[in-house]
Amino acid sequence: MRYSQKQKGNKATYKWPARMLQRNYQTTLRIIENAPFGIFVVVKGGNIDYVNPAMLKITGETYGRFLHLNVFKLSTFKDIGLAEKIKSGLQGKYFKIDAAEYTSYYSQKANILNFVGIPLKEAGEEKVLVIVEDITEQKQTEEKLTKINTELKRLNQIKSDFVSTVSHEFRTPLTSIREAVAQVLDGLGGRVSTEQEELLSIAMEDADRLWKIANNLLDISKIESGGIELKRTLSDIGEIIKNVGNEFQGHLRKENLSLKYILPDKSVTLFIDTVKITEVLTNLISNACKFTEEAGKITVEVKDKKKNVEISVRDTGKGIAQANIPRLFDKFLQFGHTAEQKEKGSGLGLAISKDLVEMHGGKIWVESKLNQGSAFTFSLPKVSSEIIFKEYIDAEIREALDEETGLSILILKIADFDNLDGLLKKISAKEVLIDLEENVKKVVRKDNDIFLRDTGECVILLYGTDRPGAKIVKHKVTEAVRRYVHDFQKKYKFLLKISSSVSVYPEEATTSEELLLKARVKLADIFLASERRLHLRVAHKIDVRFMQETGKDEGMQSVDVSEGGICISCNHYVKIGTASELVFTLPKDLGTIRVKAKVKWVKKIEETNEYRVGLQFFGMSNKAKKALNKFLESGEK
Amino acid sequence: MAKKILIVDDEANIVKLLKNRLKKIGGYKVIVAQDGQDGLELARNEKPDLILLDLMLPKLNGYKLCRMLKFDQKYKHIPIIIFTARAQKSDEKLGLEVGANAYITKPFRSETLLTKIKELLKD
Repeated sequence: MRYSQKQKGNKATYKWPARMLQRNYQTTLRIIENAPFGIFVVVKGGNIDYVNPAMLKITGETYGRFLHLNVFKLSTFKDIGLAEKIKSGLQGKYFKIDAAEYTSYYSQKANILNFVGIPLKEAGEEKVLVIVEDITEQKQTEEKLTKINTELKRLNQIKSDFVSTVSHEFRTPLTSIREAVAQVLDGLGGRVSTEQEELLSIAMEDADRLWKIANNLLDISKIESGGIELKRTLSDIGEIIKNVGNEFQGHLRKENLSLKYILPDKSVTLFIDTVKITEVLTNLISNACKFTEEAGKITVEVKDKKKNVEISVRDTGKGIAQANIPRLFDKFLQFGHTAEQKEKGSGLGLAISKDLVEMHGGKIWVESKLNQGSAFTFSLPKVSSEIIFKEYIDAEIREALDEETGLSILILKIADFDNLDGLLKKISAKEVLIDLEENVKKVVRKDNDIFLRDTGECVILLYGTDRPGAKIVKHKVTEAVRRYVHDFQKKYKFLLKISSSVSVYPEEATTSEELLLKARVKLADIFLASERRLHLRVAHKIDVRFMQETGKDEGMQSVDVSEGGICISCNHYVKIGTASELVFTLPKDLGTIRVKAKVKWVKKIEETNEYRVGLQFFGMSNKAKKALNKFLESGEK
Repeated sequence: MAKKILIVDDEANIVKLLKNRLKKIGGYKVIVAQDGQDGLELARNEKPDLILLDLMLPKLNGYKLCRMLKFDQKYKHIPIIIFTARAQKSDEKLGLEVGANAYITKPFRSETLLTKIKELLKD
């Protein structure tokens, strides 16, 4: 049923359904009387004219009692604001009340109801039709779910705490057991007979096993409680794989297994936590060894895909039954408790590997057929250098927070870096940046990190430096840069423009975003100030039509024009930031230029009514740019 | 002459095992204290060549003990290796701040410990 049809006075704006209902009174009545939602009609004065069976069912009132109610007089309606709304409804306003706690007057039944009010006028009389939806059960279910959820979270926490405590408690005595057995085996307790050695080796083996289980449990509980933080660095995945492989060499020889690597030609660098990924690889290769018979082959392959890198560990072992694959990465499950199995584990290795891979934003999966071997593959996403950079700074900020020290960022930017290669013939832009870094290194502390970015920026992270310290460093660096620029000009006959800017944590910013932004914003200020001199300015009087947002169209005269903007002479003040469209015709048939511009500055000429208004172009078409440049270069006045 | 090592740790089993290994493999003389107070006294009276110090100690904790020795002209030359089950970075930095010469997390491999001890005793 659509509630929102409007009625203009007495005339319905829709004719067909109204006529149908008028003709089919019985049908209409049946519809209303059998509707599953409550309906009642309120007339002027607050009395109730009509109520349908559903409303009576919802409220638990009888027909006679409900009709007795007055909407404006009873707290039942006043307390939930329904009285107010109905009042406005009688004045022609539609209304809606959501999730009101309604307690029926006579029956005292409590419900949670949605109300929709529709103003009506019938036979000259104002009425309000109220449609009622009972959401009591829905709300009760929601509440139950919330309670269950909270309880589940609590139980989960208890479980995690338990696991963590237990594994801790296991580690201490296990340490003593392993050390004591090791000492006897090492001969510290006197000569050991072969039989003693055998018996003790069994003890050692199982003590080791318990040790691994306790550690795995601890890992899992740490991961679950979010206690593991990735320490990412740029690492060569090939190197990591080879290191893990080397650790297995002894074992491989003993079991007569071969391990082969298939790596792409170009080395692949990823921003990952080396320790954690080593753990994953160790687990996968260890599993491969476990489930592969003598003379078997294990292959580790790295595939460099566009957005991520896939690493597979393949074996020629017994494989896994299809039925077991879905729960392979679950905790505490292990398959093949048969005599063939050479080693037993805790069943947590794959679960932990899955968690570690997913923490990196990757995925892990397996392809396997019984007796045909298995291939475990995990993917690691390639991360943009921007993200790496920000994460690095975030990590440093966290450390500064831990140690309650400051962190400052000093940014040096080489102006016009993109074009530098073209302007310098004997040296590349990149080399200039690297040179700059070398010079800076000489004056900053060795433990500060310096990043070079291909936007021509040299970013220096000053650890443990607060504002006064940062000022001092900036001064030293600026001096070093000045010397460098001086020497550079002598050598290459080119004047480098390098600007610097500092922002300090925590005085000026508390996140890496803010810190970088503040540093860059200050950089921008430096730029803008000198920008006015950067552009080639040509004084030229052109007639400019200045069309403001307000629709005003004025004819002005320009004072000078540059590729970045235009300065015009105006006989009234113009607000800074005003955007307008400019139209002007260049001489020598270079065409008419239409361009959007923003008012950047306004200066009043002393003792006159004249204002100089500086406008910056934006969104100029390439064609217009060319024409303008041609004009500027022509040197026309 | 055999070097003297002082172990200050309240976990009896670990201490016994450690003492055994140090004596038999390293050939060191070993004295033991089970709480911080005793440890401080022994350090001052016996003047060991090296101290193995646990952090979680009754009566006087490891950090304080370390600082007290390191800020005392008479004893600051004694190398101290701190070991503890806690492995937070802040603990490590704090340890080095109070003057510890090395920091090892429990459980450690005894070979690692022996190597570190040898290193510190060389100078």
